[in-house]
Amino acid sequence: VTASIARPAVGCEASYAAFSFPFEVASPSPEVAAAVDFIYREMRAPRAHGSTPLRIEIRKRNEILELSFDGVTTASGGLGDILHQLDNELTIFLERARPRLYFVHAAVLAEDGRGTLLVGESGAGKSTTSYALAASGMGYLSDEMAAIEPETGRIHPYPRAICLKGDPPPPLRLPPGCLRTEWTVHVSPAALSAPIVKEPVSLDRALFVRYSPANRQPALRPLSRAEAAARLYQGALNQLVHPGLGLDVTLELAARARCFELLSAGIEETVRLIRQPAAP
Amino acid sequence: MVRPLDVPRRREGLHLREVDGEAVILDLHGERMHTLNPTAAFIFREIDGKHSAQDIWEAVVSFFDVQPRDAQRDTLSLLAQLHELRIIE
Repeated sequence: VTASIARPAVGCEASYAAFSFPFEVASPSPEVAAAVDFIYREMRAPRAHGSTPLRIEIRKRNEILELSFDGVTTASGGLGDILHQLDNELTIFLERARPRLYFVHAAVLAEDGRGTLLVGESGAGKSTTSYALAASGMGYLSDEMAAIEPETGRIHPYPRAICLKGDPPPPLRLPPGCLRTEWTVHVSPAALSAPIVKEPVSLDRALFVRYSPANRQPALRPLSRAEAAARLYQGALNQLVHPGLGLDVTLELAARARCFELLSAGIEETVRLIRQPAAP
Repeated sequence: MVRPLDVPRRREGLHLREVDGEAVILDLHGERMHTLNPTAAFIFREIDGKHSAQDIWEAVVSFFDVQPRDAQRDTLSLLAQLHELRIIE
């Protein structure tokens, strides 16, 4: 009886895990549950036993959706608003749940177990580039968040659906079966035929993406360790929880990786540059 | 503007790491991070609240293969930038 009071019956419920941390999402609306599952499908996990998973509920009240995150109502609005807020809340929650990991706002792709970080501010072209790399067959770990073990440099996957702000630039096309909201287009990495990497990979390269319409050809400009560390630090999400305000771990990670500024240009040329066998 | 006899001091709240001759400065108050190339890192090391700007450019002349006039100009220029960024006072 207590359980039924604490957890009102809901229509659809699914269990997931990120960085081995379980979370459940429930909604009485099959459409909403399906949208959430579309985004986190690659993180599906058996229901946790013996531990209390994070509980997320999305209810409908007077045609407005309401997000309850860990028992606290944090947002209301349309599907796009709720999915955006859910992603934000989940990111912050996971940073706190796994404080030993060093989180960077970055996409992660991999080839032969070697991971490439794409770090960039909003609008730099990080999502488009990671979409194009995944579509070209590069292994996909995340388009949003890199969780790195400071001691080993291993990057853990966070393979949610790729989130674009709109249709990708030609010649890229969206595969069938995307999820569109008011604000975003979500693409399943499986629909791109990208190998979805579900095991950690080693940190090999860090590319700091800068897009300028003036760039005619893409280029990789080597960065010094200090410059790379400064950029990595700026893209980090939880650097201050690490000893020494995270400076030392940032420098160590910058030393592990080959670091470049990626001056992106045409998307095909940019992908070719990143993936060419002789790429630095 | 920084004058030759001014004695620059590092502001409090800065966290410094040196790597490969360069420097990374975290300014928690300004919520900014700065990188200094090897020459600028050398100059920054000389900023200790005791040495004047002139002392610093003379140290640059003795350490690097550079003309005194160039060292003076570049040192004063860097100090002015650091002052503007509120890294020194």
